[in-house]
Amino acid sequence: MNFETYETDDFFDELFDNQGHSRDSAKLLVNAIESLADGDLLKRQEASERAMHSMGITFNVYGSDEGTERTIPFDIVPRIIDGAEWDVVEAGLKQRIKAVNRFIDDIYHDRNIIADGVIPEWIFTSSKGYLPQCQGLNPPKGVWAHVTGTDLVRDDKGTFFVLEDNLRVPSGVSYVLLNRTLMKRNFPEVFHKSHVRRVVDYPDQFMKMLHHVAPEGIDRPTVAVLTPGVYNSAYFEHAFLAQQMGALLVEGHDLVYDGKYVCARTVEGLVRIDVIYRRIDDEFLDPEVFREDSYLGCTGMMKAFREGTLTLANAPGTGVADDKVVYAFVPDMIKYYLGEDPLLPSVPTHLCCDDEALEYTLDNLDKLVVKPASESGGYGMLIGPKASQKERDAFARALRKDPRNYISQPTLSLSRAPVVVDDHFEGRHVDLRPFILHRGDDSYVLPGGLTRVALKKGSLVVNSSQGGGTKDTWVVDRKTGLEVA
Amino acid sequence: MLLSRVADNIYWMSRYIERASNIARFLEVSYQLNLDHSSLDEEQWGPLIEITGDRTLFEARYGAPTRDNVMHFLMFNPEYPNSISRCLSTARSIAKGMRETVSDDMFREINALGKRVPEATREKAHFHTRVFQLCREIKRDAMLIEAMASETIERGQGYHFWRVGRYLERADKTSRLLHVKYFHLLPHLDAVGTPMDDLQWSAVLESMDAKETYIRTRGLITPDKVVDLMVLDRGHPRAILFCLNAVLESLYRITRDKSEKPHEILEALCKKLSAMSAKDIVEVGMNEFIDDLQLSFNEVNNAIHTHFISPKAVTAGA
Repeated sequence: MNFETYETDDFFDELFDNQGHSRDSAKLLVNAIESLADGDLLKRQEASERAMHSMGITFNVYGSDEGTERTIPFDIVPRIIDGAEWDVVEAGLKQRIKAVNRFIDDIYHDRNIIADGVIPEWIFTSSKGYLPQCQGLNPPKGVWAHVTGTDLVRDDKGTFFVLEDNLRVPSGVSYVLLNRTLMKRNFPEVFHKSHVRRVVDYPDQFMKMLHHVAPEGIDRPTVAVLTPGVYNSAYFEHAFLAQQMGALLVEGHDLVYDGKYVCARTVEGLVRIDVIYRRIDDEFLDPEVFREDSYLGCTGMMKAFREGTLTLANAPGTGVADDKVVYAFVPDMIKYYLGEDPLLPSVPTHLCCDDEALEYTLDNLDKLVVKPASESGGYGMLIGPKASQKERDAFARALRKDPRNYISQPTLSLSRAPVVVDDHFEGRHVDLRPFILHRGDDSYVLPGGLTRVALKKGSLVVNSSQGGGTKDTWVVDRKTGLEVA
Repeated sequence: MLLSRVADNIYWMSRYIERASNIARFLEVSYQLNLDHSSLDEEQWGPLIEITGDRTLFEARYGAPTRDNVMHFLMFNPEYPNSISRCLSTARSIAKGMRETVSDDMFREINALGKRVPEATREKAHFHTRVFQLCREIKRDAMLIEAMASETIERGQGYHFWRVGRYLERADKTSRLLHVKYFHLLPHLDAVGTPMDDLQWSAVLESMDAKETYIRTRGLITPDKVVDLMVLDRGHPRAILFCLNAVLESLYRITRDKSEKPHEILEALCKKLSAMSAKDIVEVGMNEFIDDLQLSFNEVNNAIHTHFISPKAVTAGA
């Protein structure tokens, strides 16, 4: 299979420049693919999919028959990011997460940023993610958002933009690690020569971070991953992370609060848990404080968190910054808290609560992307240029009814990357979700991250819940990479 | 540190795999044995249903215990919780719910084994050939999984729950097999000692992989010597006493406290069996002996559950 007929059209392509030449950092890979015997690439792709089934890397499809198991489609052509370019992104992400953590801490304490007039007060009082129960709390090392999966996109000039910060329970990192395992198996030689930055130590970095933020005075903390259970679509990831980190994988009913500590029920009786990496939303954590009908969490968990006998990652209340309205202010936060200019641009954002912005949005619905402020997973958004008049009219009504709940942004011309379609390559839109582990004094950024692909031709929606697939992402250090070629 | 929920899952996953592989053994040997009969009328499939203890269930659904009915019931029936198909898919879904505990290799095998029977129904092989082949594959794969468990899992509490489940299930199935041979396989008492009787004993031994051991250590087939091997042998891995000793050993590895209820019951049972001879058993009466055994197995199972899985000490706000 070769790239002779491959068209980049007018998009920024991750592997080829607009003349159709492979980018320097992608040369090795492109040559390797083109030198494969006919059908070989497809064979490797199929082998990868089989491997995913046998490893049980499947998710249950909601609402379908029992036993319907699917794998997230995996495209075998990796997406390549130049190492020097990545260094800038990495620095930008660290800067951003640092500022966001300072912001959350400020909101739950003195709210200096509001007192100083940088951010209007209503943006947190009306935010769904704000939890009054967390007011005045001090999570260890001042960290609220321990794990972040920030979504990045590239526009038609190849500039990286931050699309949104997923600060609550971002998922997908297991696919980064598994895709890498599959690629090492499929392209060992190219992989070796390409000097790809490694991702394999992510679980180790994760565990170190969790130890670092454990309650004071605990030498060897007991760490657990809290999952809603086997029927959750991300269950595989929860189990995978627990296994790779050497943490306990617990469900709500495994936990009990003994009056001081949150403990796990074990064959030897109750054992204290010190740190919980939770993969359930705030509202399910503790039926005594939040939703009474929740069986996913444990009564007393918030007490333990408040009294400091338990660290929760991410901390409850972090969602206050995971809001598309708050997003618009992150550049201001960076300046305010760190006194620096943002290294990574945000997408220009119109807050529909502002009358002028609302009118502008309504007038330009056919050009803009409109998103609800606090939804995730790509649900409930309008992609103006792709929508019908009827859909736009319906959205206009929703906008007028609840303007605070919406933002609008220009439709970016997302970058593309080649994917295998039958016996040839076609360009598909991609985004990137890097994972950032924050420990207070410093952050670790997983080199690359999860590249999600909108597999439907022309589609801009990359979410796995809506037919997206994934690719391995190689951050390639070019200087050494080219010598061998 | 082992969560109670996970301990329970390991225990049952292990039991279900062992159960499936035992039923596969019985099916395979029955099939072989019945090939030596000259007509279909002479074939005996009913006793296999007796082993399961679910005769009423079978009759309600199938009626007569014909070869095909029994094969379908035990191998394929998706509604019958103890069919091979269901046992294996249950084990598979348990494994999916605790894959952080199972080693990757083991998970892959259990995952594949759980899909084996439903997948086989799509193959075009002749029904009997297929059942026969499946039995062999399941037996082999269960042993492979066992080997993986023993080669990839550290000897912690999890491993010992796995072992407790397997050997308790095996002891139970061996006792049922013995029971069935005594009460259902030979319809007339005057047939005892006939060539058919010998043939059946020999089949029983074969389904336990014990035929060669028997011949080597005990010579010609006599019922009390078979009982001696199946019940009282300490060295044969499918003999009841061997299995119970293994369970006890693992219980002590899980916790050393001798005063625990499951330990107590088992300790007493092992002591009792150790002091018996095959002649004692036959004289007490096989029926009563096996009934007692089964009651003890249930008691052990319940004690394990109350003690480790839902212990009373674990209460909120204590």
